[in-house]
Amino acid sequence: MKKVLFLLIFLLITNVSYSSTFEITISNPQYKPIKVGLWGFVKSTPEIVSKRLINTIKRDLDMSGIFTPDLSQHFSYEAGENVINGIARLDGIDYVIYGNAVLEGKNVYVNIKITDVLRNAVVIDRTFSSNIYSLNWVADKMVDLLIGYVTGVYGPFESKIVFALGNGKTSDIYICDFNGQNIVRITNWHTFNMLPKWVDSDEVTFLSYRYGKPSVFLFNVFSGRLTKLFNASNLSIAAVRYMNNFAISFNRYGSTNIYVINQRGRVLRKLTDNPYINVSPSFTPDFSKMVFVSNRDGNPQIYIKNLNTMSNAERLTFQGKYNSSPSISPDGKKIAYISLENGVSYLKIMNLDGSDDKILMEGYSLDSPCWSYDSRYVALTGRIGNKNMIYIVNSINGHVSVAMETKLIYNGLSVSSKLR
Amino acid sequence: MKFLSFLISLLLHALFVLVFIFIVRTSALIVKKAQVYNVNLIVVKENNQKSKVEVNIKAKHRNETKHRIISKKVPRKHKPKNKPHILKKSLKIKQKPKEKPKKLAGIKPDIKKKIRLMKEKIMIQRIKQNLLREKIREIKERVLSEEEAKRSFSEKLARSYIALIESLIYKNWGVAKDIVKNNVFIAKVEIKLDYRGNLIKLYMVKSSQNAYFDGTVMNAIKSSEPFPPPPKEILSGGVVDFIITFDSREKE
Repeated sequence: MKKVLFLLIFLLITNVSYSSTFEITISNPQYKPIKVGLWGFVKSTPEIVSKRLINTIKRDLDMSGIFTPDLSQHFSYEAGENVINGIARLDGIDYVIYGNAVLEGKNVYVNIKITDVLRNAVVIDRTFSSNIYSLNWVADKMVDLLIGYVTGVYGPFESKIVFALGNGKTSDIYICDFNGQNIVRITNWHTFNMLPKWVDSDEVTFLSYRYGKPSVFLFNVFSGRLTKLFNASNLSIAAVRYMNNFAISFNRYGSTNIYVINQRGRVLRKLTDNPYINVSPSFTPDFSKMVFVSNRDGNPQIYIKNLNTMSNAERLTFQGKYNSSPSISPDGKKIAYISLENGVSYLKIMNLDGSDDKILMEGYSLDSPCWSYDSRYVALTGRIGNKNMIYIVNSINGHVSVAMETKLIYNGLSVSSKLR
Repeated sequence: MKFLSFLISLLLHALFVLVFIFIVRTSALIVKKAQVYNVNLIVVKENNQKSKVEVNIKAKHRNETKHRIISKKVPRKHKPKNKPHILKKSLKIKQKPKEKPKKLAGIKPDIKKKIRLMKEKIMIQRIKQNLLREKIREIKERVLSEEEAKRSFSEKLARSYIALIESLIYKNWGVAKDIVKNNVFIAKVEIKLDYRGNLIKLYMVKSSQNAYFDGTVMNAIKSSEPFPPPPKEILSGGVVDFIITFDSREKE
């Protein structure tokens, strides 16, 4: 009797405890663009403000290569979040940007919200006090915040591009936003100024023929202070930041090597010691390694040198007869460079050890690749037909966008870090 | 005077003791003689181990027959004269001492019978237990096989339902290439469906640490609503639970 009871209880238990939690694993996601609803600002917002903000946000979203803006504005700011989310969901939108702005004299108070439709929540809600001319910065910041929220790495639109633009006889230095807006000329010397490089958040170096002989200048873009760094070379050279000093390549004793100079132009250290041409240095963030271009093997190729051990430089590029303009990403993982083959130039990226070498972009007269501070985008100059461009290339998905377009010729480009 | 009375009492006591001894001796002799006969007669007849009743009946019968035989034999006078006297005596005493052996013979078979019955009972119990065990085993096997069949059926149903759920969710799951390339995101979500396929619980068990990826996962599940009703075989308490792992990697 006891056994029968036991059996019955056993059967009951086994029947009841039959597990009904099932495990599923789903991988290989389908690729889908991220749709951002740009639903604008309330009706009371002055048009000049809303237009400016929306245009800049749309431009940034387009250039990012991550988002697809949606401008179907069936929106009321007063509507509840659930209504906004419901409409957005119907439209297949992932994020919605909307806001309110008030103009008081010269001041503009802007409130912008970003709703994550996927999670049904307002994830970014910021209020800015600005003037009418800084609205682009507000828009750039919002897009950077959104990029940071989505990718985990803050966006690049709060940086600036410094570039040289000329007509063949004269060339001047300009600064623009990362998206190509707000162009400001910083030299107007009617001479040849070229190869600008950001060396700090507010300083650039460039080569100028202002005084006849090529000289490297250090220029503070906010204060306007100009300092002559170096004029002991007859080469067209650029100076880049090396710790608290500068690295510069110039001709000395019959060979061109890379040297470290201080702010007074005094040579402190020799980084390469080779009888051939060694130019275009770029450093890892910790300054332990340097990539540069050398023709020591017959053609311009890219080499890497360990500056801690000062061991012999290793060659990284073996494809093509002309590889130049190396630039190490701010995260120290990738090298972007230009490769020239049969008249076509390619923007390529590879790992620091030369592996995973791949073409990112194909074009003509591509030059001066420079990474944005988020190590996602590469800005460079190039030409299509008789038009010269500044391209912004998304190094992850290969998306190319044009930041600037002109008939004039570019003579160098550099992207700043995130500006205050 | 005193001495005289003492002597007389002494003599009287001695006389009494002698008389007592004499009486005791004479009575002991009679009993001894009777016991000898009784034993001989009873022992011979009680050799057969039969039931108490049978023994009694037979004993009675024999006594009757013996009475007859004796009565028949008496006129013949072949046997010595004093024997019938002894027989008579023995017959007279026979019934009294016979009761003792009768009692002994009655108790012994009783115990044995009881022991035998007990043994039989034990045997029967054992057989019953064995039979019960076999029956339990049979039932167990039958129930288990039924259970197994039921389980395999449920598993098949579950598998097909899982495949359906998986394809539904996968269809609604999309991630921007930019975000997942060069990254590995793994998110784990628990969902609970009721018997109609309604989503009654959606819980992020493990985040991928990327808000966007987590959002796509949640959205994929929400967009897949309503789910088809789950087969009742996989329901537990009217609901069914799934733990879904979303992996950004491309696998074969």
